[in-house]
Amino acid sequence: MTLAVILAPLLALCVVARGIGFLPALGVVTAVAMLVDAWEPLQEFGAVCVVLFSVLPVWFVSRYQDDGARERTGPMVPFLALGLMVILQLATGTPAAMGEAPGHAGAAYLPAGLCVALAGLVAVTCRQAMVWQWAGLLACVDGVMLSGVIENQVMVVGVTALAGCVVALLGGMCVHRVMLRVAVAPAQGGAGAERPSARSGGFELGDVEPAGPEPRGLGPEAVVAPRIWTEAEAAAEDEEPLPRPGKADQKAASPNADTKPETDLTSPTAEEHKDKAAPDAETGSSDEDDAETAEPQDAPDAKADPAEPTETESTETGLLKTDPSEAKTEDHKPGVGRAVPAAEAPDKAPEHTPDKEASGSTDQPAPVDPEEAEPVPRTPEMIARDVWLRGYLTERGRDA
Amino acid sequence: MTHELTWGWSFAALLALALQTVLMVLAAPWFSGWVNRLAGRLTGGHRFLVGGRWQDIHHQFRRPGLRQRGDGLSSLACRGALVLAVFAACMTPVFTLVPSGFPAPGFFLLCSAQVCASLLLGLPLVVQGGTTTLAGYAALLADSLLLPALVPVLVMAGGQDFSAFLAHLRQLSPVGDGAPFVLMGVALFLVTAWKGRQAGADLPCQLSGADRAVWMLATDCVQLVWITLAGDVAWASSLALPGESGVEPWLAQCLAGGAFWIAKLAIAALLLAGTQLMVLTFPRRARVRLAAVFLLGLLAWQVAYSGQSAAVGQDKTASAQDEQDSAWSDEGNATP
Repeated sequence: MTLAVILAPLLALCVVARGIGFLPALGVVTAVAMLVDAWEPLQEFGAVCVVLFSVLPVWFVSRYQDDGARERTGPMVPFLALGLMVILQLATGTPAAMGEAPGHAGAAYLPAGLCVALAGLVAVTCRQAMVWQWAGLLACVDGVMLSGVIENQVMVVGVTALAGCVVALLGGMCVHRVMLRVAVAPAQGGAGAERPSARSGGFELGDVEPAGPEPRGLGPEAVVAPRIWTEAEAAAEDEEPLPRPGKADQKAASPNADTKPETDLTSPTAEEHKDKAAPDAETGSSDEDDAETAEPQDAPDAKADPAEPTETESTETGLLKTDPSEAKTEDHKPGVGRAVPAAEAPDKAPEHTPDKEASGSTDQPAPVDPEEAEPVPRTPEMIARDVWLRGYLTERGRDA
Repeated sequence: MTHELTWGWSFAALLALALQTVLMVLAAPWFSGWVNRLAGRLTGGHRFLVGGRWQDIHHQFRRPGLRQRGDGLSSLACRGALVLAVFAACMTPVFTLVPSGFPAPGFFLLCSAQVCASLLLGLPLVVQGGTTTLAGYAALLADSLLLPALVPVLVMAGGQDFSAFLAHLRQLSPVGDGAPFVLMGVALFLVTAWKGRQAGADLPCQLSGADRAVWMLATDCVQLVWITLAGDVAWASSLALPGESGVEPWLAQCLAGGAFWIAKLAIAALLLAGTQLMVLTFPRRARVRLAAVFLLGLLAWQVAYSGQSAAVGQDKTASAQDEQDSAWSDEGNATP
């Protein structure tokens, strides 16, 4: 009689009470209870099997989402198991019953394996969640294995190992069939864009101040890793009133302010859909893209703004133009239009055109102003960014 | 322990008892604050600092009381509960046992004092009326049923002195032959789990002033005494036993016992904070607690009883065999 033998039924009760989370602890304690008495190959095999049957299913289940099954059974179920353990002990632990069992005379005796198996059966019977019942079955396997190892029954251990394999495999297949995989989604772009830190990585043509430094590179927070875009998210993005104070002011002041907000609000999602289809988006575009592209084309005053100092400074390739819009679609940066005159608003609209954006990833810049055509020395950072963005967009397109 | 009880050992035992009592009473609010803080960490809530409970009690002691109807009875009950709790703390070994021959209470008396203190602590909730009356009645019912639920544990300890019982357990290793008594310790520990700790904290106790301070201190003392009892039973080897050797080894054992007591309290605080993660209604909490105490105690008694009875049976068989052998040998000696 060791402490591990006492603790194993208690942990089995915890499995009945709280679920599969206690199964690894039960397996470890059961393995210790096996190995404490003797260190023979049978005990080693049983201990390894028990640990595997207890740890692997929990690891496997942790890769799936909680099925959210509502458990209607109350907190008194473990006490049913405890009461049955008491009855079992009463039947097997009496001196009359122990008289025939060799090796137990004079020592405290608890049929720990049978108690653990009993608790597992109670979990299978009384609990309703699938994972809980699977945990009960595995606890049952642990208990029978412990009992067989303590009594040195090789056949029992072998059959139980086989049964444990079957239970683990079938349960794992059921879990894989029924439950959803856990998908790790990074921080939402829409939510992260509201933070001021997410703004800093992006830049736009008009944003770059004439005397300012080179546009900063796209940091990890500017372009988020590939994420799952569901329809609900896209719809939420559409409905989200984007707080872009700078741009909103611009559009309010711009001559064709009645059409601009619509463009700006719809363009991010459209561009994100575009991003996924970047390679083939060069030629074919969806209807809403057409609707968007039609609008910037009838904004000829984009070129009527040649004196924009930022453009002459920082626009050099179309790719560079598309970068900020790409980053902006990811981030929805508020305040990108800080200190930008109102006349620049129509200038930004062409940058949002998906055609340009898609073509920018592979082609040379399409519309280049005469003043913009002045060669600006490209820094190694900009070259590296272009190369990276090209690969990134291609990858996104391949994913899509 | 065949030595005689000397005046020196008696005086040392008295000194140790006084020290243990003061230590328990002073440490009880700290332990309570510790559990509260840990539970706040686990549940993600904001709680007071560890010493916040002591500050609250100190603050309440200095506040003037607001007299209401039934305050006389409540005040009397609080003071009675504190006296009983301190009495139980005095009888509970913290780091040392009393020497053999020194008057020591039995386990039943200890548990009765604790249960009576709990009953008296639930009395103000009933007397004051208001929203806490129903919960107060439930607490009274649960505490009155606690003694019947403790019957298996009491049977395990038997009618002997608690100190003598622990001295017997001291020879057993908790990971070996003393494992059933670990189960008994778990059963004793569960007396405090799902107790009126949350109920007492959450329920707005209508007492004010010094009465409220006494109520809080007595509640903490009762809780700490149960925890210490559970730790003593689960691992009695950590307690020092006077009279085995000289004074210096005993003092060293006392110091080690104090350190082990703190370690046991840390583990108990973790477990208690973990039990607060289970959100149960008050009647259900009482049912869970009583059922757990009774069934675990019964299982522990069965496990320990089977070994003892088998040992006794084996001893009887061995002694009968010896008698028979001696009789045969006598006959053999007599025949020639």
